[in-house]
Amino acid sequence: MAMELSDSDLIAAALKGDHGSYETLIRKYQPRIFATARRYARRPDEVEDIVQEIFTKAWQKLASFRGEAPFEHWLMRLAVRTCYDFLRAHQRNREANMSDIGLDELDWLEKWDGGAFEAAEQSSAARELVHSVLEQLTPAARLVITLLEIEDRSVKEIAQLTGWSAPLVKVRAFRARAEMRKVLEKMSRTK
Amino acid sequence: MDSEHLHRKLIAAARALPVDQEAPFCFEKRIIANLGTIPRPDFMGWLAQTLFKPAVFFVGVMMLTGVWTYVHPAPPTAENDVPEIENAIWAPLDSLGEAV
Repeated sequence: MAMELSDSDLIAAALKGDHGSYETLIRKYQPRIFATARRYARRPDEVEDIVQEIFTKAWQKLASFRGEAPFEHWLMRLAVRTCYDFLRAHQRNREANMSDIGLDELDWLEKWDGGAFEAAEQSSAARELVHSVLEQLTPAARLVITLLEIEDRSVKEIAQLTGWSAPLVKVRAFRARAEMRKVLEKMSRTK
Repeated sequence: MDSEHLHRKLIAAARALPVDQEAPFCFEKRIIANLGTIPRPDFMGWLAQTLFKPAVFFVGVMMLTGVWTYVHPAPPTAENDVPEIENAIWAPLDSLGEAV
């Protein structure tokens, strides 16, 4: 039975130019990276482009990975920063999407009792609504709401992932919540 | 419904959504096909990039100082008497010339 190589062995081989070892690393971590990218982009082609960019950057910067922290942490930092860059590059589309918010979906949210989604349509409506609301936020607000409230990460973790200081994360979280309340108020008024 | 309550419900809905971790078939092959060789750390490039911003700043300071001294030249005083400083600097060479 072939023994499974550790991340450090695979990285060492990849650094010598072995694409096969890097392919193994991609196969291992791509589910988590796809899940992360799907939180910030909706269209499948955008998600794929983000994931490809993350793994390409990781390959280019692999020589700077010192192995002090697990490879997964290093890769997740890169993933979060790439997603943030993606949001900043696409922030002009925010206002244009305001009309995309489905009022039926808002009705559905008001009636939802907080239980598990029973049908695929419910899950799809929830996904659409969450994306539509989050798309109205500034990139920093969206990132901090996603990491802090949806993924339930600590301020310290977010600071490590984003490269922001802990007080900056707290300030941005405060502003993000206010921004989100404003968006929801605007939606309720439109309704 | 107030926005605070909607906010809480929206976050609860976002948390309840199943996380889709699925990758397209053979996606790793697509990434590998687009990879080049790993670039080695470029020390000179890093140094040039690091020094560029301070260099621009100091060139700016130099130009401002130049403009300032051109617009407001210092009046000649006993302390900044240029001919005397020049004479003091060149004195050893002058005396050398006389000795020859």
